Amino acid sequence: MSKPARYVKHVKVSEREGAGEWKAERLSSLVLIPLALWGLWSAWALSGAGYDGALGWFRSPINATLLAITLLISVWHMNMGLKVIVDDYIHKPSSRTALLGLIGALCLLLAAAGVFFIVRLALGSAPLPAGLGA
Amino acid sequence: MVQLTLPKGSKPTTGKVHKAPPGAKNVKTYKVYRYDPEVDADPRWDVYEVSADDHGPMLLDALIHIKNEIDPTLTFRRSCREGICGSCSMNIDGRNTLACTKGWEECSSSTIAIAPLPHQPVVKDLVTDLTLFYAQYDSIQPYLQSDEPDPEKERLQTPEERAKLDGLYECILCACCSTSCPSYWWNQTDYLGPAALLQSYRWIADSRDDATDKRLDDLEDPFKLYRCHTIMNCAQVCPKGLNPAKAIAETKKLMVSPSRKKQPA
Repeated sequence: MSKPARYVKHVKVSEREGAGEWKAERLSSLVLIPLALWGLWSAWALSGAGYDGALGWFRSPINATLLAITLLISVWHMNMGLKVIVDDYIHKPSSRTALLGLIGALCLLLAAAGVFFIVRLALGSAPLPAGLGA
Repeated sequence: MVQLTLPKGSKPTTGKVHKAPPGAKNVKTYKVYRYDPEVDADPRWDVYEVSADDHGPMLLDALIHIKNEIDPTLTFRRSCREGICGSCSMNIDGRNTLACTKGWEECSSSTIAIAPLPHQPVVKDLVTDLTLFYAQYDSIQPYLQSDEPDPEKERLQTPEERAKLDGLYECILCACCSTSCPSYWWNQTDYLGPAALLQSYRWIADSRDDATDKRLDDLEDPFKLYRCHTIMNCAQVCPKGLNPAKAIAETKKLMVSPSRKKQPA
């Protein structure tokens, strides 16, 4: 089966997608406004609380859950934003695909590492498992 | 990647200077882009010193005066000389506009630069090749598509329905907006550009047109529509005072509207 034509009379054929991503960009921005303010306020409130104070803050399930949600939405939002930049400026299809794959993998890694540390802190463990780092 | 410098054969060199005759009064200096791809290796800036007393109030009057009296080799498009045909669109004093509706007195620079529309292939001097621009307009099916049988007389609209077309129907397809848009500069083979998108919305907003869902399906694409990042150059330069960015924003809103019926591809 041959692939459908990508261009008809010099004009791109519609992919019939993009509205969902457009909506997701805006919804994630809206949700991030209160979450970012809460994050900044929490960081400010924790100043001077010391290491134990910070660990105690993480042990609250509400704090840990909200922080994990903030992190996941931030990374998702960042991934969409970086995709816009790549789509705008990288024109070679192979470079574009490779770069988007790399950015996606890095975002996934960032999200996974972030959630991992938040969960460990919430459970009252040290940030890193014993034998890893300090 | 985006080219940050002009490619070889695109950098304008210094060209001829046509001095004003001695004793000329009210002299304006025009720096005009000249390029004939069939003959010239590089484009050049030719300078014309013209007494504003010798011609009418508009930039187009100055250009016609230059062509008639000083240099008949200068090439530009013009037709109606009253801002309705869209032929004399060009970049004047750093901004896309129509030469026929721009007064030379409005230009603040002491030397007024006149160049072709940016990021389009140059046919000669100030004439650009707008083939792709017209193909994009053609692709949005700029005509009424109704499910109703042809009526005996005209198709009626309420005054409110008709008012929705104000700010849309006036577009003269001069290409000032599309060629001022950075998104269009970087991705014009895939992005439709503000002019075609405004024209598309002109039919989407028309109460007599029944192809709205099909039109939206044809536009829903990360590149055709969603390269618009509301940079707003389109609205800033439109010589008819229209706002293509708003038409695009309305289209984006309709894309996620619950009333939209998306057809399978």
